[in-house]
Amino acid sequence: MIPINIIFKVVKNNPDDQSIEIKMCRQNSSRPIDDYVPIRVSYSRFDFSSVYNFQESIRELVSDRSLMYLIQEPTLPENKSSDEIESIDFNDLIDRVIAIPYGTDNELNEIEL
Amino acid sequence: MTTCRRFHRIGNDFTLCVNIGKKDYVLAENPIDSNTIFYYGIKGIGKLGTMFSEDYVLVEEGELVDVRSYLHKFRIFHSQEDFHLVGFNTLEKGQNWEGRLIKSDEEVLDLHVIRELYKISFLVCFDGKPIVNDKTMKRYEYARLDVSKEYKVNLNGGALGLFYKN
Repeated sequence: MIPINIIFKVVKNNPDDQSIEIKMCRQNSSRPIDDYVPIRVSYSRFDFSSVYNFQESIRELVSDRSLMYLIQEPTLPENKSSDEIESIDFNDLIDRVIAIPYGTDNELNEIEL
Repeated sequence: MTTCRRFHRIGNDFTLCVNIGKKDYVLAENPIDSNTIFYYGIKGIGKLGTMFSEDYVLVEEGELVDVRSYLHKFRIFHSQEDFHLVGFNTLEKGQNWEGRLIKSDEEVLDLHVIRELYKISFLVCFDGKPIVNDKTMKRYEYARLDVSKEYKVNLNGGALGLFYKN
């Protein structure tokens, strides 16, 4: 989990077809929320049984989508790397950009043989 | 204080848990928290047993240890040395898998049993950089095997595990 706030803005309510249009992003995005494309979401995705449950159902939706936006952000050419750590000597790492997976839980890497 | 770094590698059919720690690290596990059925020892030795029992198995460097008999029990682990162990975990408690290490003289993967039983099988790299069909595998990489194919293996000082769901 990345500990940042997620922001959202409901830009249209469509009671006729039981849906809303909503924008969302992480709060520290480099782009304003209005620059994001809204998505249409059915009421069925939300839990109207209480305010708390309502908030939690919104949270689930906007968190997943905001994380997806984060993952889709382009990588700066300067930050691209295919280098790997091949020794335990820091001298071998000086001035090299190394990419490693975030966090402690990652997907297994499947290869074709 | 003795500590252990633990992390997971998650696949569609199984997961690996990696445990790296110091001598005399002790862990107690509730069976609902663990689906580990095999351990491979990359480094060090540890005792794995049932809580409040003398019964245990040694998880040793270079060996794949079958711990299926402990799957539904409260387990304890005690490292005898600094250690680096990899656990092979099922996605569900009810699954049964068979597993073995590839032997150093196994130049072509022996898939005889798997072909006969027609099981979905996987090759998992536990250590080093083994070469399979001219492709170098890295630690924790895996491949789904096609039983119609032959796989030439050079362990190259590394360790490969062969697993299939029974």
